[in-house]
Amino acid sequence: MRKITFLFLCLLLLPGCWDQSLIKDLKMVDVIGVEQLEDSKEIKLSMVTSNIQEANQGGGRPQNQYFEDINKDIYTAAHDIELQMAGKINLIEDRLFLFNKSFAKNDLGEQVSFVGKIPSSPLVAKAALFDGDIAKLLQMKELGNTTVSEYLIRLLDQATEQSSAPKVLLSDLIFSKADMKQDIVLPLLEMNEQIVRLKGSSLFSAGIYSGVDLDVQQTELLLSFSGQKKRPLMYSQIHKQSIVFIVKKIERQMRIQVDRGGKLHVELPLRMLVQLGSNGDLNGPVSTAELHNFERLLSEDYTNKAEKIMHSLQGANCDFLGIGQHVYAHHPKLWASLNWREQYPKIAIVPKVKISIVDTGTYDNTSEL
Amino acid sequence: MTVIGTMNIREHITPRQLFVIVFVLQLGIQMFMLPYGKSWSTGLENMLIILSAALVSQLLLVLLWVFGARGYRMNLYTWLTSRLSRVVSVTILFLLAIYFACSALVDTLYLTNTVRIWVLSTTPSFVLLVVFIAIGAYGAGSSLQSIANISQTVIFAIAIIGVLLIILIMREWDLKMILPIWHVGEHNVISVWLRCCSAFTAFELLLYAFPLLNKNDRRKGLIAVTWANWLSALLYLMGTAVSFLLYTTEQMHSITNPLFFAMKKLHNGLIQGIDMIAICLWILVLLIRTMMCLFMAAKAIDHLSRQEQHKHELWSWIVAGCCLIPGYFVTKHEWIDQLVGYRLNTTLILMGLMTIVFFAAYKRGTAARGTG
Repeated sequence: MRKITFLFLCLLLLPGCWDQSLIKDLKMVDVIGVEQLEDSKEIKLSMVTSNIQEANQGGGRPQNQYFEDINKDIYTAAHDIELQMAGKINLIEDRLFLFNKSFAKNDLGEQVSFVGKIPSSPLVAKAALFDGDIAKLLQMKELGNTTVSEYLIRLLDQATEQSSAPKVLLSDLIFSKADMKQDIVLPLLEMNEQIVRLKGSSLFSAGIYSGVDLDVQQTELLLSFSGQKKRPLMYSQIHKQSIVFIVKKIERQMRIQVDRGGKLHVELPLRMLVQLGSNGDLNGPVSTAELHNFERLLSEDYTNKAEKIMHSLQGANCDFLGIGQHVYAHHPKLWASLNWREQYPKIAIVPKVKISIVDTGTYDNTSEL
Repeated sequence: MTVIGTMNIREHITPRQLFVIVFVLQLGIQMFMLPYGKSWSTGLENMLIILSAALVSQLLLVLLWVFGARGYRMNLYTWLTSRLSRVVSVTILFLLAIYFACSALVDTLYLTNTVRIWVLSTTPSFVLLVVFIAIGAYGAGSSLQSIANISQTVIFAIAIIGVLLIILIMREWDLKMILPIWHVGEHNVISVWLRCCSAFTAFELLLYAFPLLNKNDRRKGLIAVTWANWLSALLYLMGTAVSFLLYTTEQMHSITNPLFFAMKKLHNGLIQGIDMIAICLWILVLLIRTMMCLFMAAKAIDHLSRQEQHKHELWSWIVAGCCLIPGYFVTKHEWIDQLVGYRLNTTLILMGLMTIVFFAAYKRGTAARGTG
C-alpha cells in the first residue's frame, strides 16, 4: 500500500505535466537568418519553419513557412515573430544559422550568445555566412525540387563532408570570442543566377568577421593544414594543363622556432599522398620522369597557394591553425610575454607543400568523394 | 559490547556492494563538472591535481581500513555512542545528521537546477526538488544492502558515460590542447587541490560501511574501495581531458558543465540528443548519492538515543521533509553554487577531523594492546 501511495504521488508530480510540448502547437524553426540592415542599426531576423503537409497521404509533402521581423536585436525580433505565427517557436530542431557579412562584422559571437542561454538552444546547429539578401533567399519556396531549408542544409552537409567547408556549430561561434588561441572560419554561401552555392569561407578574429574571404580551393587547402581534410578531390592548372588528383593521405606538422630575440618562426610542412585523376592534355600512360615533374610542379603550385592563404590569415588576424595554442603549449613563458593579437600578423609562417603521386590508376570509385 | 549485539543482523555487505556504493558516492555532482570547480590552469596540470587528490583519498581509505581491520566491529555511530560521553556523542551525531542532510539537499538543489536548465525548463524547481528528495527518502528507508543493489543498477549508466568520454577523447585528441605543464596561473594551487580532494568523498559512508563487511572479506574490501577510488579518478581524468580537448581555459570560465556541451558534439543523425541521455544517466547517479546521504542522516538520528531504534525509515522521511523547507527558499543559481562550495569545505574539515580522531584512536588502541 505504501509503495502504491508513493508511486501515485510520483505520478501526480510527474514533471512532464509542466514540460509537455504538443507537436501540433509547435513551430519547428529550421533555418534562422540574421542580417544587419544597411545604413541602420536595426537587424532583420528571418525564420523558416518546416512542416509536413498532407501527411495522411504517404510520406506527406514537406513545406516551409517564412517569417521575418525588423528590430533592434535578435531577441526582440524573435519575440515579435512569435506574435505573428499561430504556434510556439521551438528552436531545438534548428539546423542552420545564416548571417550576412555586415552583421558578422558586428561582434557576431556576442550577439548570438543569448541563443545559447535559452532552454531549447540549438547549439549544434550549423553556422554560415551568406553573401547576399538572406530574406530573399529564405522566402523562396523551393530550391532544386526541395524546400529551401532542406536544400541549404544538404548543401552545407555535403560541403563539410567533402571537406570543402569547415564545420562550425553555433556553440563554436559563441565560444570563439573567449578563445584567444584559435579562431574560427565560417563557410560562405552565395546566390548566383537562382542557384545557391558554396563560395568559400570567411575568416574570423576573436569571434568577429574580419572581412577577408577565401575561395573554395583555398579553403580546401587551409583545411588540409588544419587536419580537417579527409580525402578530397583537388586540381591544379600547370602550363595550361588541368591536373586533377585525389588526396589519399595527408601528413602535416607544425614546427615553431624561437630565435634569440624571441621572434617566432613557424614552419608548416604538409605532405600529400595523391592519386593522379587526370593529367590534363597528356593521354595514355605517364612516364616516371613525367610523374616526378608533375610532383615538383604541383608542390610548387600548392606551396605558392599556401603562402597566399597564410598571408590572408595573418592579414585577417585569424589564427585558424591554432598556432597560438601551440605556442602556449610548448613555450608558455614566451606566450605570457606576448600580446598574441598584435604579434600574430607579424610572425613568419612558412608553409611547404610536398605532393607525392602514389597512384596513377583509373579513377577510384570507392574513394570518399 | 552490548551495542554490537543489537546491530541489525541483516546489515552485512559484500566487497562488491562496497565497491559500488563508494564508486557512486565519489562521483556525485562533480561527475559532470570539473572536480576542482572551474578551470584554473592547463589540462595536464588539472589531471595531476586529480591524481594527487586520488592518492590522498587512497591513503585515507587505507587508514580507515586499518582502523576497521583492527577489530572494531562497530560502525561510526555505535562507536561514538559507546565510546564517548552522552552529551558529546549526541552533539556529534546531531552535527553529522545535519551535515548529511545538508549534503543531500545541496546535491539535490544542484541536480534540480541543472535539470531545469538543460531538460525541464518550465517545471517549477520545487516540484523537481520534491520528486528527487522523495525518491531519495524512499531509497534511504531501505537497508544499506538494498541501496548497494540499487547502486549496482546504475553502474551501467556510468559505463555508458565512460564509453562516451572515450569516444570524445579518441575523436578530439590533440596533445597541445592539454599542455603546458608546470605553468601554474594566478590561482592558489593548495585551494584548488583541496577542492579536488573533496571530490573523492566516500569516507563518511565507509565509516559506517567498513565494519559491516564480514571478517573474511576485509582484505577484499580494501581492494574493492581501491578499485572504486581509482576508477572514479579515471573518470575524472577522462572528463578533464575531454573538457580541455574541446575548450580552452578561457572558454571554460563561462562553461559550468563543459561535459554537457562536449556531449552535444556527439550529436548525429542516428542518435540525437546524446547529451540528454548523459544527463539522464547522471541524474540516476546523483539520486543514489542523495539516497546515501539521507540514509546516513537518518541513521545518525536513529542513534541519538543510547541504542539504535531501527526507525531510520521514518527518520529518512522526516529528514527529507526538513530538507524541503530551506530548499523551497533557495531560488538563485548563485546561491546553489555557494552552497556547493560550503558543502565541499565542510567535507574537507570533516575529513581532517575524522582522520585525526581515528589516528588518535588507532594509536590509543595500539598502546592499549601493547600494555595488554
